[in-house]
Amino acid sequence: MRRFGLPQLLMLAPAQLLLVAFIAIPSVYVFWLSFTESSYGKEAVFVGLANYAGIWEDDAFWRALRNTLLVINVIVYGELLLSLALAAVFVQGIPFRGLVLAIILMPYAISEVVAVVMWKYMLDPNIGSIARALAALGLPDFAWATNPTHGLVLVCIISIWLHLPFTFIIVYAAMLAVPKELYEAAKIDGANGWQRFRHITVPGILGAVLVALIFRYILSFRLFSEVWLLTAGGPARQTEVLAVYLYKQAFTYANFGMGAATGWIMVVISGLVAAVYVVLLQRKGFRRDA
Amino acid sequence: MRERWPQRLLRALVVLLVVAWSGGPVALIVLSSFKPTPEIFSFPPSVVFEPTLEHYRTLVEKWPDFFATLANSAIIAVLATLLTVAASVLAGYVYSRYRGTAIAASALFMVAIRLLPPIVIILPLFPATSLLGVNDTYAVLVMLYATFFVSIGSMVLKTYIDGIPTELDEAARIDGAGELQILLRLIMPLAAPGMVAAAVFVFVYSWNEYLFAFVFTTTEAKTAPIVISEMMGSLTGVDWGLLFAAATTQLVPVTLFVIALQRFLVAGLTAGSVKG
Amino acid sequence: MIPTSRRGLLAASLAAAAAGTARGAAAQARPTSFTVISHRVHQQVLTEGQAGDVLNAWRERNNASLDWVTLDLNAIHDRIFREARLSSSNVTMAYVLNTRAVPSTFSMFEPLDPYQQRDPIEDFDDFSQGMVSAFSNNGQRYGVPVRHSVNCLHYNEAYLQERGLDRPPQIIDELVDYARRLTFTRADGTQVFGWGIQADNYSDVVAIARACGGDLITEDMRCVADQPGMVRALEIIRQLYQDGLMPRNITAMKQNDMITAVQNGQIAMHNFPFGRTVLFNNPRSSRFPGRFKTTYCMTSREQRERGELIATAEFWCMMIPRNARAKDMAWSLIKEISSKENTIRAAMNGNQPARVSAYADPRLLASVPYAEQEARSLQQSRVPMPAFDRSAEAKDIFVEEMQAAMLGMRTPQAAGANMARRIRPLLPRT
Repeated sequence: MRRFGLPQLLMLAPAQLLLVAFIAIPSVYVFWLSFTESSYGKEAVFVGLANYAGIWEDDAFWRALRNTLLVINVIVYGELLLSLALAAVFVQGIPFRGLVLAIILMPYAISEVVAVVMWKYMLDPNIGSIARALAALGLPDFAWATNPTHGLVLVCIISIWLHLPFTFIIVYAAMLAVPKELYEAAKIDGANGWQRFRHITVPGILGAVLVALIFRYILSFRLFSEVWLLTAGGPARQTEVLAVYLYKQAFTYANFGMGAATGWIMVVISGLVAAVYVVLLQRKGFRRDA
Repeated sequence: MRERWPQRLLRALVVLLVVAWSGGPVALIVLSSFKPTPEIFSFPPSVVFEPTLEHYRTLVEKWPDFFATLANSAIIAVLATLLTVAASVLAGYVYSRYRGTAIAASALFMVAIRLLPPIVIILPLFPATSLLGVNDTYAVLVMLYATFFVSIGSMVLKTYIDGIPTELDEAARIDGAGELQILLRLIMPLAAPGMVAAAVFVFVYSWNEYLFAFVFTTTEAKTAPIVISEMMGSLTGVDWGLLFAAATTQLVPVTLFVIALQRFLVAGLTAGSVKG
Repeated sequence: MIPTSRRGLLAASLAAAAAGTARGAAAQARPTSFTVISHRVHQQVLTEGQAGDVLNAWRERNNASLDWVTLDLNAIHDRIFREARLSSSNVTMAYVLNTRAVPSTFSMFEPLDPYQQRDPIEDFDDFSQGMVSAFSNNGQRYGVPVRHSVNCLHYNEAYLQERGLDRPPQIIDELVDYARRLTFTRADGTQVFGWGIQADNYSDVVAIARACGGDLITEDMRCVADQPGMVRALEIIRQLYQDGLMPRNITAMKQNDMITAVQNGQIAMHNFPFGRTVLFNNPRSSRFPGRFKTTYCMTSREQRERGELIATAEFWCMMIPRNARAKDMAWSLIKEISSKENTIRAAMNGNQPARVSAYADPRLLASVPYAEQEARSLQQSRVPMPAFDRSAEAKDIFVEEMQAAMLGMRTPQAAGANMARRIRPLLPRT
């Protein structure tokens, strides 16, 4: 591996500049804002840690945090397990592979707005086809609007529906890249299906899976549209997630300081969650050559 | 590979299930957009019906700005894609070929900075972009979309370029090629599938993005998802047929785009993993 | 990021002056465009309908064109306030809803008294004084009322007949009984619910609480949610929901979902602004065109005997952002929209006029069947909740506790007590 110099830093510049200008610098301002009380028509006033203390004491925040952690783990690992299973079927070869692949990728192209409209329409207890089919089968109501647990389940379903293609395509691509000869050799050595998966597939796809996990963790941590457009955090604020809590503080209540503080709390928590995976990835990819 | 029929059946079943899961809802939207209004609400959903273009006619007549915003979406998505892919291939190449503390730090920064929720960025960014006079222009959305996908773009390309043997660039270097030539003549052609994969990610994101478009555009640069959500929020009651027609119009081009490029998408994400 | 007011004002007036000279120099050139932020409906009533384009004359006189930015309810205010904080803004004029016109935001808008003295709007006293005062602070006016929505009871007459009811409910004690009789399954399998509320807002429940002799927050800013009136209202809502007399997914239904459900015949009775009856009876979108009728909201027996009405109302004012570049143009536009004649023309296009005299105009009486009921309701109307700096938080607390009571997570008693306990610290000290 080569040592870098000025040309290499220049090549990194465009990407880094974008991130610095549009995220890093604003985030410093947000950090300052989180120690102030500020709203429309008011000058920002320094209040120390009052916003953080206010959030600490707010039941709604803890509920939102619990919901967020629950939902993202279901989403991220749900997607991963489904993707692994599906990819395992795919690599063995299936009929109409191109067509099926295209159909699986379709939800990825759908905007969140449209996806929520779609699912809301299908699950409307009065006019929705899925809801009425469930009723016709004599199954109990899927009361996503009034039962917070059902509401969060639906959020998970929609989110998995939207993002499965992303995880799947990465996992599938990684599985395709595992050299066939390894499997053949293992077969000759008498390894069974599970052993081949455990000792060949898993190490082969680990890097790609980690990348997918990190990005899905980070992206789903700010889960907003699915909840906002579906339940808006209701009923009785029971399905609120952190991004919705932040939005309410910053925009509905115009309490910019509280919103900014929530933003930084989210950075720290999602950082902790993602850190594990980032460290693993660092070890794999960016370590100085040993 | 030979196998017994239960395994085959199981596989067919899995395939059928996943097709219904992924494609069913989309098919419902597209079909419903051609149904006369009463049929949209019928149960079980009618499969045979007399298709009508009435909702598309309403769309053209009542929401002419929808098509203008679709054009905006397309322009913004294309520009954001070009910018992201260009920045990502440069960064991905460096990450793949060079090592050092600064490089590792820069890569970590790329991922870590993304932890900040985009919503909170709006607070300081809106006055700033307004001061620069870029609100309601393509530029502000193009930059933002590129910013929020340059991290993943760089990672995808880094992984892909990892799969291109370093002997190739060493050979070129011995032949006297400079860094830029190696990148343009050697790496970029070989990394094309990876670039396409990154392009698909950012294009789809830009085409569908809602929050930034909602905040930073007013009339000139308004994008299609904004108009669709306006239709949903109409106080005159939701015209489902119209909504489905708009949704279909918005999703068909990007779906075709993804389908057309899916081969590259898989290839672009595959080859990189060779080194494992 | 917040402009100090002096510098902001200076910059804005310089810009306005510059704009003025530029206009003078190029009088016959391309019309100058002015941006207005509003809901779609505000644009519609000025541009299409029986009375045609109301602002044509103004546009020609001023060689101007209007650029309407129409957004939905929350987005309008998000955008206006965000724009108004900047050092200067393209937005010339904005429509603001009373609930969002909280005192602290007034500093971002132009005081209008000087304009009214210089270039008065005709017969200003004709405007509903309650609306004017809601947009005033320290005796200074900040907004000109332009549209109101007074709630009334809408009912599906076909269903009432089908279920053997010969008149709509009048007193609040009849509500549960009526809702029960109007909840049934139609021959085609459609489930009909007797009653509906907007469960993501306070207005419908406050109307019931007032009919029970209670309230949420009084005009003198006391929270009385723990008093018997509101607790009784929560009990009624809870019973309606638990007995299946309202849609099961009511907490996820937005206003537009409700309207669609009423149009589809899934809800028999609902409080809505008078003007919605046009939508409910529109043959294009309704399954019962011509069968939806309006009447006064339910009251208590005593209120009825005294001739009192329960009419919750919200309304819109036109405001000029302090950082607007063309403030004189904005005032000229506001003046034009507020003239007596244009108020009536907009009303014929479907607006609910803020001038009291409009309801005496024969053209309006002829074209709007509910004009008399509406005029009477308007006279006795009150906002469902007074505006104060932290009213958005109070609204969320109300909705949270109300839904908890409705869904059976808390007793109505406990929910009412929670509301009072949590809302009181948010109220301004008087």
